[in-house]
Amino acid sequence: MTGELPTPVHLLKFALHALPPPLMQPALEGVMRAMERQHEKLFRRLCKLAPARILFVPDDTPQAFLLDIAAERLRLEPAARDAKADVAIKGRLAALLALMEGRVDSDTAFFTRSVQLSGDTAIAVGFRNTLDGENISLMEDALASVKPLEEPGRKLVLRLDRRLGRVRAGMERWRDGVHARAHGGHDPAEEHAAVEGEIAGLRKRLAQLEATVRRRGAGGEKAA
Amino acid sequence: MTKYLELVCPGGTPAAFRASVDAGADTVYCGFRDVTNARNYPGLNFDREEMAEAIDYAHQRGRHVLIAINTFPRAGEMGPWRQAVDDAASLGADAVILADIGVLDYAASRHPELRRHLSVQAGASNMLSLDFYRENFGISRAVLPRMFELREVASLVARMGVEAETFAFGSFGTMTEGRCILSSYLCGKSPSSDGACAPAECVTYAERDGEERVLLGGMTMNSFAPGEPASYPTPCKARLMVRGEPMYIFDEPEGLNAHDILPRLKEAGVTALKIEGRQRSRAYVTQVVRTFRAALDALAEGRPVPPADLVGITEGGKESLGAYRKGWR
Repeated sequence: MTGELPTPVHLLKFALHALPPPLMQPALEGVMRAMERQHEKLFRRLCKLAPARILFVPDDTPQAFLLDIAAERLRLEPAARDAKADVAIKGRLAALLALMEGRVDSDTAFFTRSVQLSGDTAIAVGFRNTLDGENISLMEDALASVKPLEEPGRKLVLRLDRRLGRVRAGMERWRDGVHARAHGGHDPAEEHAAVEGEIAGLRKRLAQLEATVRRRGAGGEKAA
Repeated sequence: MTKYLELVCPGGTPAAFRASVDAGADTVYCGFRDVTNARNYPGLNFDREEMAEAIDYAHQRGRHVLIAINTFPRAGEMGPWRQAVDDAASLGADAVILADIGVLDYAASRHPELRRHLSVQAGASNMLSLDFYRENFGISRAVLPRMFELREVASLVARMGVEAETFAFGSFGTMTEGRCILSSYLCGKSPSSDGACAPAECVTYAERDGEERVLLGGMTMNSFAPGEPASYPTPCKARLMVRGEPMYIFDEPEGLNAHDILPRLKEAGVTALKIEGRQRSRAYVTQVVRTFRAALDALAEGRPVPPADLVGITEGGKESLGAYRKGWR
């Protein structure tokens, strides 16, 4: 199942922006209940982990989410982005979901810096490894809880997600166009990245030159 | 599946184990959830029930299972290692991967019918050493340390009298397999006895001046600029300040990929290829095992080898042939 139907990120992001705060907690509880029904063994294993508070901080959603692992229960709740937790896992929503669903390797996500960690690393590693023991698909889990409307629900969700993706892409093009006009055709982000790259290159070159000078100096000393 | 070379793949968790089998591993290696194996990290490995299920899963599909019991017991604490060997035998493992001479002796005397493979952790890197393990403990296979050039592999394989397994993909350590204790100076846990190099409880990440700092036991191992590929927080991959300049003085953060030299490993007489990565997720396992399966099948059938696109999942985003093509002595 993993990788076949990735979670509709555009739709999810839209929902996270649009959902009134009082409805967020019941919605998250519903998600957890649906997941628990589908992944009973996984939930049992997670409950056996040492008590911990894990904060998920998507870069591109208004709020963060706190997973509270306590004896025999798991609770997911909306939280402030700087809420107190044992460990915080940060990244774009799509990256965090892909990690959770096992669609990307967590070490790869770390190597490429698409996900960042702060706090108690052992908790994060234990959680990651336990989660990776099961194939998870948030979309399938949610759809399974609305049987017999599973199939039409899947089609609807995918259609909405595609449409939202197109709207988002259109808005980004429009925004880029406005930026380009405002900056006389220049893209400040691109220029900034180019300058940073040039500085990094120069630093590297300088370090190499300095190392060469040192080696030559050391050789000279030896010869002397 | 073909048998050009035996493909030995990691199974760090039950799900990764199944992923390895499903992606085309001939053999999967794994370990018990305790100090007896060299990947003793939180949430990894198998309890006895899970191990029995995994072995059954593999055997039903005609694959083999190796159980790694490859750490070094402390004096007077042989219990978990003896139990692990006994359980591996009773659960029906096809072989055990061992490193310590006491554990090898126990397995050879108590379970002579159980195949014994010499772990890379034993660091057997010359004929005297390999002869010793073969003659005294009847090993059937040795996993060669990642320190030999291809011609050295061929030279050893020609004389060692047992099967040779070599690494084909994954992380490098320092060129002192089984003997590196750098991490224990910072964390108080020995990679060789506790099975955890740079254990997660000693690792912290912190942001400073826009850079991500990685600390091990409170010591800075590295600092990454925004967007710069990261590496494992192990001491051998530390970027240290040398005369005011940050330098990788032990190992560069890069991964081994021997995909392009598989025919040469075959020519060298190698029996099996090992994919490293019991600590990696099942997504990694699936991608790497599929890639190598496709390559081995193509070679066996005389077809062109499909290109490998694995650089994105290697440490530091860099691939290397490592010691197989080393330019130093």
